[in-house]
Amino acid sequence: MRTGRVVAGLVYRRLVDGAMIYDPRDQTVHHLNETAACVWEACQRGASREEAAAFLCRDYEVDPERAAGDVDAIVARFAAARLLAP
Amino acid sequence: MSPPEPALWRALLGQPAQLRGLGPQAWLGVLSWASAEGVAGLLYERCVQQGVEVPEPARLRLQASHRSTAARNLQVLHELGEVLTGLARCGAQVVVLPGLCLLPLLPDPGWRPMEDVDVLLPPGAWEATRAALVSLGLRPVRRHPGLLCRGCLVLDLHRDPLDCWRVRARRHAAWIGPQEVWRERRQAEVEGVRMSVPCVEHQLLYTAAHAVKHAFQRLVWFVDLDLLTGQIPDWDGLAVRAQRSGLERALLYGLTFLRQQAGVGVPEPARRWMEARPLRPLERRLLGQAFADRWHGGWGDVLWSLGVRGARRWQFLAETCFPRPAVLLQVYPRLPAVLLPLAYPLRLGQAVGRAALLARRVLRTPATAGEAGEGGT
Repeated sequence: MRTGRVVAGLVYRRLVDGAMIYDPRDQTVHHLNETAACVWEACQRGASREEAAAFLCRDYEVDPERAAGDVDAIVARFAAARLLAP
Repeated sequence: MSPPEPALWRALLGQPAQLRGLGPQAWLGVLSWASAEGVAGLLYERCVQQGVEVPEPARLRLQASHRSTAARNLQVLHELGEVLTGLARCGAQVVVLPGLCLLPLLPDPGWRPMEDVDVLLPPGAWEATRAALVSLGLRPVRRHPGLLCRGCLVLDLHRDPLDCWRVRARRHAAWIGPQEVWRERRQAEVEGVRMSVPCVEHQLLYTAAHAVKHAFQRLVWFVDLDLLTGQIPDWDGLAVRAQRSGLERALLYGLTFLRQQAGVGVPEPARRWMEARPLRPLERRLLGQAFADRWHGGWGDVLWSLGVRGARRWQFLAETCFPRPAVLLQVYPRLPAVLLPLAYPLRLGQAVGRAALLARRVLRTPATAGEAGEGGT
């Protein structure tokens, strides 16, 4: 399943403990922890949810079921913040 | 709040392991100090990067500071990007001076707060460029024709990098020609925003001059100096520029702090350059005092005046104390313009008081103050 398309014009920046996204449409800043940053970068590459979960499994040594749940929850939050378009 | 210890300086300048083992109470002291210095974000990044454990309450506050700094910097940059694009459409441009143009040297934008964005206007195009900026929605600040605001962005317009047009006698000590900066500028991409910035040699000299002018009040300028010294490809070339612009001593003072007070190593060519230019006894004494009094300020003009010879030194100090009316009205922003004549005796009283205070501090301090803590290479 697709994660969604990253909205154009957002500024994404890695930080020492995660990342941040600046949305110039309403000048808001979203802080991402390491896991969310990993999922966002997967979204930027156009990865599917399954692929994003695989990245989490690889980078954070979590089991696939938990990784899939995390990806779903994080993608839902990105969509709710209008950072991802359907 | 007590002044910071050298261990704290060293932690910021790359050795956070110095802070390992501090208790929660001590960390709260470090936190207060780092917040007051505007370096809490930098300290957080250093600690996370090097695995220094920070007690939870202090860690959360450092993290909050790091995040808010990063957020504000991105907002300022975005606003600046829109302004630069608008300027280009008007056929105008500016050179973005440090600190904002130093962001590419930093590991992330939460390191260092950016306040005003200093920009150099093209020689001979002040009015036209300023008018273009105003047409883009930037609004002037009362009594400060060189300050323009839009949203979170505050632009500080410069006719010359060291602002010698405000205090003209400053030029007797140091001068970086705007034509030279424009000629040697380069293109940079700062967090995705394309802009013109000075060459790295001008960035270093500008930063050193800025730190002296403001009496080393902000520790983050030393972090900037530390980053920039590592970028200089040709120290011989830099030495020529420093001499030509009258900024040898300013650069020497900044590097002296890095080596002697913060114990940070400087590149080998810089070390040789410093050794060939030892501090004079008066400089050593005043510099030690200026470092010790960083938080109180007041030494910037005195140190700057050391670069001026003979009668021009007194002309410089006189113009600094008693600038022309338009500048003095900026110093006293609430004073009605009709009462400006009263500002001069007030200024005289302040100058005499400050001179007495500085003299007292010097007399109370041992003569070896500037020699403490020789270290680093």
